[in-house]
Amino acid sequence: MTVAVSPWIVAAPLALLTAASALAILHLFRGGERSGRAARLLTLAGTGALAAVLGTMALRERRLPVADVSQVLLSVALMACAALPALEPLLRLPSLGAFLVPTATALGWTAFLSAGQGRTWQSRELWMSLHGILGLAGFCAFAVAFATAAMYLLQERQLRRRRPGHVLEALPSLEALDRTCARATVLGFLFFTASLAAGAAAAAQAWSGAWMHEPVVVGSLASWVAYAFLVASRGTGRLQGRTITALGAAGFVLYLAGFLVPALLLGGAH
Amino acid sequence: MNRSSPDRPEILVVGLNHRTAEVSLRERLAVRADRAAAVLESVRAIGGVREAVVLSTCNRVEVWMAASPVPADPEGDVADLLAGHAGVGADEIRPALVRHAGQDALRHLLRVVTGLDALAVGETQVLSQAREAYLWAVGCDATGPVLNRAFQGAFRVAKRAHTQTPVDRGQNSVSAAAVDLVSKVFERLEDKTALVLGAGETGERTARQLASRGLGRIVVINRDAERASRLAQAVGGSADGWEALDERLVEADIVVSATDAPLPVLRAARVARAMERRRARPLFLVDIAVPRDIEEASGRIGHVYLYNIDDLQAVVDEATARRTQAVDACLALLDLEMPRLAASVWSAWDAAPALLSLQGDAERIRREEVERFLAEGNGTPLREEVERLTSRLVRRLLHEPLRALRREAQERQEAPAARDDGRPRAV
Repeated sequence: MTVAVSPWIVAAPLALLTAASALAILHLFRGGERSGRAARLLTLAGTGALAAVLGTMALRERRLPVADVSQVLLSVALMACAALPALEPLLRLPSLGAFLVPTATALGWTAFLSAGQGRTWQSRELWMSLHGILGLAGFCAFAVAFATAAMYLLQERQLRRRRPGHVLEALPSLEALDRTCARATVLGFLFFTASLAAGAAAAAQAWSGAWMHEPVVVGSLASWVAYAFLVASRGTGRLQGRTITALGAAGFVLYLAGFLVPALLLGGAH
Repeated sequence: MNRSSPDRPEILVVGLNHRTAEVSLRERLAVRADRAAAVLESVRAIGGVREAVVLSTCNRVEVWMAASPVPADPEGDVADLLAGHAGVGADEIRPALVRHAGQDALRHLLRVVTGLDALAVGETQVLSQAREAYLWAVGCDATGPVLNRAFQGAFRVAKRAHTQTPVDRGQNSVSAAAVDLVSKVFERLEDKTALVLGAGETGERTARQLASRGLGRIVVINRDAERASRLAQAVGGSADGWEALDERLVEADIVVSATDAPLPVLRAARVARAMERRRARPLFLVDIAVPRDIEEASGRIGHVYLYNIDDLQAVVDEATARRTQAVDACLALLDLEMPRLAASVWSAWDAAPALLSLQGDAERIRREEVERFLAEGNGTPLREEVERLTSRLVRRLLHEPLRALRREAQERQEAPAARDDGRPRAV
């Protein structure tokens, strides 16, 4: 029995993450030790509260909290926020939080608004579980790629407009941002591809009909083609710099749309 | 609250710095490492001086002392001392000397180690230089409880100031700002190539800044081939002629242009041609020439970032404005820390009478024991050995009680300091 996410349960962690996002953005533009520290503390508190909510849900259902669109979005938001303290020093991107936490928060509020809508996925089969885990990993990597793409576009704008200030100083080099964005995109694409393969295996077992025409499947395949183009363009060097980064950011929006619109609005067996 | 004991040493510093002395005098008085021990020895020979540290950087030469009684004419003593070591007339040194004593000296120490008193405000190099000077004095056994606590406390405060305030951030010269901006485009400079057009003073300064950041390759192009070769050699790069400009432009990641040409040497069309061959690899153009060397339209080409002298000056001005705010924050922090540092420095000394009395009693007992031991018929060859043995014994016996007493004295001093509202207190 799947327990739908109650809007009121996730509202508190999301409120904390929203406050953290606002402070992180304030810190990016204005600097100051206090806003930075407060943003980190609120992110920690929001992440902890969200982990408690999803953990309770997982224990109650005895499965990963990916049973519907809302749970998937909340799980991605949680993973992104939880990984942040490790990602910032590892990738040497000190201002990543000002972009990743708002991205995760936006996903969280989308989950809040879509709670109880769309189908629920009950299967505990191996292929289906793999499909869910790999899909979450890919989603997270794409979210990181989106955040770094946004950082790149902002930093590039600052440099091009020759605008000195705290943003220019706080953000890392274009080269570092481009490299991280490329790596996250490739990693996300690998997870996404593997997730689709596992999903295809699960669908072949579970559904006898023409599952390839399911709206969610079609949306996912469209996103896969878009990311395949991005990865190929980066690999060949045909597109570079601002163009490929802007396309990467747009790719994430397309990816979200390819998942949310069919799952919430178009229905189907998926 | 003043709990000082009558013979408590006073901290004082006598020295000169970039505000009081020209570089020509400062460079002659600079204390080289091989002479530091001799200078320290001379300072300690000044009447009343118990502890000493000599701080010598390119911007200052300062003699720190803990003295009791305070010398009657410390400026005269230091002038004579420096004159003797540097071969400069004391009359030339004395007008440049300034003195700070007591709390004023502690405040000055905090300003020096946090970089607030530096030529480039907020610089961190002076902190490591002060640390080296202090450690050197410790190695020469020239410091004691007063200067140890003063310097160690000041280093802690400086670290806090640099962590909590952005006082050390931002550049204060056009060439340094240019190099900082380069690092906002490129993550690593080891595999990058810079093309320097013109071998004048500004071009050289920027080239040196780039070289100091570990740039992979520097190519200098100048009308005067000899000057180009000289600069290239100085920065570990290579020189080339103007005819190679187009080729070098394709290879370069950074171009620094500082020629005295009356017309632009890099037209937008030339940059655009190079960019077509570079396959969207970013190109950072720094134009520090007046009149400008690089056509403004070059900055509108994709993946080209152009900064001219006005843009760089804006970066410097912005950094200066931010640093001014940071300096205020840093000064507020120093005001807050001053009473704590002062309390920490003098606490050991305020407990001194009790400690000295305890130590004196133990020493008397030791001597009596030695005399009794020797009177009991032991041979004189053993005397030195027994002296050493018992001396060690007393030190070990008193180690813990002395430490406890010092700690208690310090806590007594720090308790009111912690409640302090930040205003300086008498010590």
